[in-house]
Formats: sequence, C-alpha cells, structure tokens
Amino acid sequence: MNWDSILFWVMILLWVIMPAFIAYDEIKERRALAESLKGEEP
Amino acid sequence: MIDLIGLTVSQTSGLSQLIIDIAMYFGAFVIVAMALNFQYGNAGVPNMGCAVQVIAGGFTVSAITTRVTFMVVKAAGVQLKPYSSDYDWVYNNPHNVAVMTNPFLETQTLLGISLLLFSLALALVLGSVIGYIIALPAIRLRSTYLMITLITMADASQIFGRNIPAITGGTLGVFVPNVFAWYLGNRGIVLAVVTLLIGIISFFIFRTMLNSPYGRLMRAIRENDGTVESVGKNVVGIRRNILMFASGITALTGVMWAFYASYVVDNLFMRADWTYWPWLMLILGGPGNNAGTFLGCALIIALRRIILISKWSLEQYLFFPIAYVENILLGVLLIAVIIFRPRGLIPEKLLYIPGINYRKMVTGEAQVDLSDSAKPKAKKSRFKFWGKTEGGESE
Amino acid sequence: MALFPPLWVNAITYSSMITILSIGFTLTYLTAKIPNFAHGTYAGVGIYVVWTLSKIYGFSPYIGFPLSFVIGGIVSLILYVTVIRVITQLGGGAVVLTISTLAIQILLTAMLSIYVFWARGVFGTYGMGFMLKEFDFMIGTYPGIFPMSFLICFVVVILLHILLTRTKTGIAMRATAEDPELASVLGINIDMIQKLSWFLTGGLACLAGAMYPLWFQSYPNSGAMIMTSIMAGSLLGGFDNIYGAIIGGFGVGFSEIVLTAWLQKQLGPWVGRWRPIVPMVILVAVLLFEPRGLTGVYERVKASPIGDRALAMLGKKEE
Repeated sequence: MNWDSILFWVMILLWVIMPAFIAYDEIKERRALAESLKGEEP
Repeated sequence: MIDLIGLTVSQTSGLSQLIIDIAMYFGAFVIVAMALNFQYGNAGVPNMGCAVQVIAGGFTVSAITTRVTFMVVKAAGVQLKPYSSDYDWVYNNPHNVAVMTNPFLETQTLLGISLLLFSLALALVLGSVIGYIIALPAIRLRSTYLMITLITMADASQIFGRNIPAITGGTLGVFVPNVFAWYLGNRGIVLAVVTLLIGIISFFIFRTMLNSPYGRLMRAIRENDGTVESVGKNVVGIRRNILMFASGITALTGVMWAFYASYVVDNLFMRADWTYWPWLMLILGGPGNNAGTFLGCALIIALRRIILISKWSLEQYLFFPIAYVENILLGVLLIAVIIFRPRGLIPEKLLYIPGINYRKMVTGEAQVDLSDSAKPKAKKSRFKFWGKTEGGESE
Repeated sequence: MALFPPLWVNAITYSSMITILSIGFTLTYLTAKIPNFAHGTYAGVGIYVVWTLSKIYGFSPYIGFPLSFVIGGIVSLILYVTVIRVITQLGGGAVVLTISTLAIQILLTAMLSIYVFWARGVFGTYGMGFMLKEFDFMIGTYPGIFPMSFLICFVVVILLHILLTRTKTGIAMRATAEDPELASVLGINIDMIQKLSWFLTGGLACLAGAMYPLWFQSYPNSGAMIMTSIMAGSLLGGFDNIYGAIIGGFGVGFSEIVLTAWLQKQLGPWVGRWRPIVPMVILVAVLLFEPRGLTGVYERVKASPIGDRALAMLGKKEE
C-alpha cells in the first residue's frame, strides 16, 4: 500500500477544504449580515 | 548527514516535494498569522514578537523533547553516548539522534506519536507562560511600549538560544529526534498533514471564540478600551489572556517547524521571518478577518516560492543574492497595501452572530423596550406639569 | 599612565554614538508619536556614505560626516514625504505606522546590501564587515574618533538645546510636539516642522552611523543591531524628553561596556557573550519599575520632601 500518495491527497484535500470552508463561511455571513442590516425600515 | 536524519526523498518527485514544502510553509505561517489576527485584528494587541512564541515552541522540542526521548530510549536499553554535560550534549548529539534514537523510533509508533503530542502540549503550556512573561512589563502601558518590548524580546530569546548550549547547543544547533520515524515514506507529507490539521483545528477554535460573547468583548476593547473598562471589565486581564492563548497556539508552529527541519538552531527562527512576514500577511489580507488572513498568507507564500523557484534562472543576471530583491518587493508591497488598501484585500465585516436577528435588534424590539420602560415616568411628570401650567405646549 | 584606560575610551565612544541615536529616536517619537524602528538603519546609510568616501575615493572619513548628515536627512525626508505623511493623512494608526517603519527598515537594509554588492562589482572593494581604523588619525595614543565622537555628541546636544529653546523654529517644534492642533491654530506650519524634525533625526542618525565604522566592524544591518540599545537609551530617559535621552544614551552605553567588562572580571569571560542582553534588561526594568524612565524618577524626587529640600539647597527650586 502506498501511503505516500494517499497522504499526499489527504494533504491536498485539507489544504483545499480550509480555504473553501472559509470562503463559504465568509460569503454566508456577509449575505446574512447584508440581509439583516438591510431590513425593512419602519 | 541529512540522509541519516531521515529525509528520504527518493519516492517522491521534485514537483510533489515542492507542493509538500509549500503546504508546510502555508500551514506553519497560517497558524501564526491567524493567531496574530486574533490578537491584533480582533483585540488590538499589537504583538510584534510572534517570533518569541515560535522560538518557545522550537526550543521546547530541542531542549525538552530531545532530552525526554533520550531518557526513554536509554531506559529501553539503547546505548547512548553521554549527554548530560553541555559539551556532551552538543557533540554527541548527531550520534545520539541519528545513529541511536531514530532507528529505535522506527519500530515504536506509539512512542513517536506520544512524543509528538507531548511536545505539542508542552509547547502550548510554555507558549502561554512566555506570553504571560512578555506581557508583564508593558501590557498596562501604551501600545507603543508593548511593541518595543515585544520586538526586543524576539532578539533576546535568540540571544538566550545562542548563548545557552543546553537549549539548542549554542551556535552549532542540535538535531531533534524524528518522531515520524515509524512512517517509512516521505516524512514531509505527514508533517504537512499534521500542521494543516493543527491549522484547521485552531481556525475553528478562533472562529468559535470570535463568534462568542468573548469575541464581541475583544472587539469592544479594540475599539474603545476606556468604555469597556468603565462597565467593569478587566481590560488588562483580558488583553493578557488573549496574548497568552495566542502565544500558546503560535508555539505549536515552532514545534512543527523544528520537526520539519529536524534541526534547531537560533537562526532557524529569525525575527524577520516569523514577525515581519505574519504581519505582512495580516496587513495584506485585511486585519480582523480570517478569510483575509488566509488570502494574505497564500499570496505571500506563493510570491516567496515563485521567487525561490526562479532563483536559479534569475541569479545569473543579478550581481547580488535574490533574497534582497524579495525583501525590497515585500517591503514595497506592504507599504503599498497600507497606502492604497488600508483595510486589506478583504475588508473587515461586522460580527455576525448566528441566531440573533440584526433587524430586530437594531430597529424593532430594542426601541419597544426603551419606550416601555420610559413611559410611566414620562407620563407622570407630563401629567403634573400639565396640571400646574394648565397648558398644552409642553413638548 | 594613560589618562583614560582603553575601557573608558571604548565606553565613551560607543555611548556618544548611542546618545546621538537615542536623541533622534526620541525626537521622532515626540513629533510623529511612533517608535521608528528604521532609525537604526539610517545609521547604516551613514556607515556606507563614509565607506564610499574613504575606501573607494580615499578621503578621510571625517570629511564624510557633514555629507552623511545631509544624505541621511534627505533619506529620512524622502521616507517621511512618501510613506509616513501619506499614511498619517489616510488616518493610519500608530500600529500601522510602526509596521511601515519595520518595512522601511528591511527595505533600506536590502538596498544597502545591494549597493555593497554593486560597489564590489564596480570598484572591487568588499564592504561587508569592514573597519576604517586605518583612516583615522591619532592623538597621542588615542584614536581620533574618541575625542571627536564625544565632541560631536557635545556639540549636537548644545546646538539642539539652542535650537529648541532659543529659536522660533525650535519653539514651534516643541509646540507641535505638545499639541499639533493648537500649534496649527497659532499659525505654525506643522508640515514644515515635521519635515524639519524628520530631516534632523535622519541626519543625526546618519552622523552617528558615520562614526560607527571607525570603531566597530560594520555590516549593512549593524545599524539595526544596535536598535535595542537606542530604544533602551530613549526609554531610560523617559521616551518623551530629549535631555533624558542624553542621560539614557550614556547610561545604556556605559552599562553595556563598563558593566559587562566589570562582570567579566568578576565572573569570568563567559559574560562577554551576554552583552547584547544588557540593554534589554535595562528596557524591561525601566518598564517594570518606572515606565516614565529618569524623567519619572526626577519628578518623583522633586515631589518628595527630601528631594524638595535637596533641590532647594542646590538653588534649583522652582517658584
């Protein structure tokens, strides 16, 4: 079993997951913020 | 000598080795930059001494983990050369580590893992202690004093490392045992995976802390510490806690970096590398924002690696080492970012607190509450006033 | 039968340089309200001005002193106009400004190194780790830099004192340091004053740097290496007091050399390696016990009854 290549792809996966999650989180929060800040002005 | 230590790169090609190297750099620096973002971006503590905490982690490995490993290995019956005196510690170290300890560790998976966890835990504790100590002289004073103290401490810790052979063998440096010896393939991959894992875990810890009431308290301190102090919060204590916690996390980087280099010497942790570059990443990406920190970190590391790769092709045209070009480029980049994009590439946003509706908080309920509590008094006084003056225009 | 033992010659020469640099550091802090971490690197500029003049063109290094003052002032002025002023106008805080000075430090050091490599290619003189002792003149058994450095330090202090207390510009400078807004209301051109003070600090740092290779081995980053001593001197003096910086600079310089030598005699030669730690210890001790440095100590003594009487005896009592 070639652990090197498995771990290599695990590493790439981790490396991609982190920024992807952060980007997703950031966009979601920004959207939610914009939504809640826009609001219905009384 | 390097082959003895366990850097077997035979099975991986040059390109994947480069990718592993970049991943390791990214993982290490993203932890430092994130911790810095936690301190400066969110709490306004200008920690100019990130290098100190990284050094604390690195020295933990060289001074304590190596000794503990020697003790364990000796108890297991391996014939080590003496290492108790300073002289023996430095000069028998290559033999002890490379010839005796590392082959023994190859068969001891559990020991290797527990040594790694031990050094990480110890670095977390020692990093926090160092954070407490360096905060001691100046945390009460103006941030200028804090910056001066911390930047001085980074130099001081290097001097300590250089002058006390028991820590890192003075100027010669010491080899550290390869705790990943049980993994027979490319050690760099495991290290990069572990470092990235630590990065992800610390990211989630920081994210949770920022989205908690404590995170709002931190931002309040950054914006106006006088107000926070006046409502009964211990600003100095909170600042110190933040510095200690972030110091502990930063020290983890030092541990991983020491294992990655498999060799610790004070010059491994230059102030320019470990203080200036994290700040550069933070300012470039935008302080107060984890996404910005990640972007800045990725950009700077990509830039540095590109310069490093093009080094061989470029250096024949240049009459000086390319490191100076890199310094000039990064310096100009930092100043340009400060001038043209003062809030970074991804500007900070308001804190989003899940479960709390801003619309209600800002416009709706809050006003209703205020008017409810204010009504009875207002009505009473207005009534009296009216009764006395018999007039309507009392607004 | 030497009038000054070599140790004192060393200490006085070094302290004079540190004092001039500390005064400049304090002056920057007074007018710009930031610690300028690039201040030591200005000294590096001075080092290489003198190096160029003596090693390449064969002049005496002393001719380089006024020139390095002017060049250092111009470098500092350029940095102020292109970086510091722009960031201040954009509303950057003290931390951002300090980071930018850190960037300037690394930038300037890299430029100096490139200059050294360039000069090696063109003139064939290597400028890493050089000394200019052979270009110095001798007074008796003493090297000329010993009286000259002390003299220059003395003259700088006197001139600065006259500038700050007797001239209109100096008084405007002090007013700007106290309260920039009020000063601008009074019709002081703040920008002009800032430019003058940055020119002055850069020039002074470069002047001190020009003396450095006559006594120590010099590298492009040797200015940055004495930064800790400069900051310790400035902090010991109170950080916002130019006269304090004089005492602080001499205190740090002397303790770095005389104290280390004395401890070396008492405890053994291993103390010598710990010399760079001395200014750091001073810095931390000052911050721990009296953050306002000697200025704070002086004010505390003045406030206490014993100090009050002592000052009255010396005829220094106010009111």
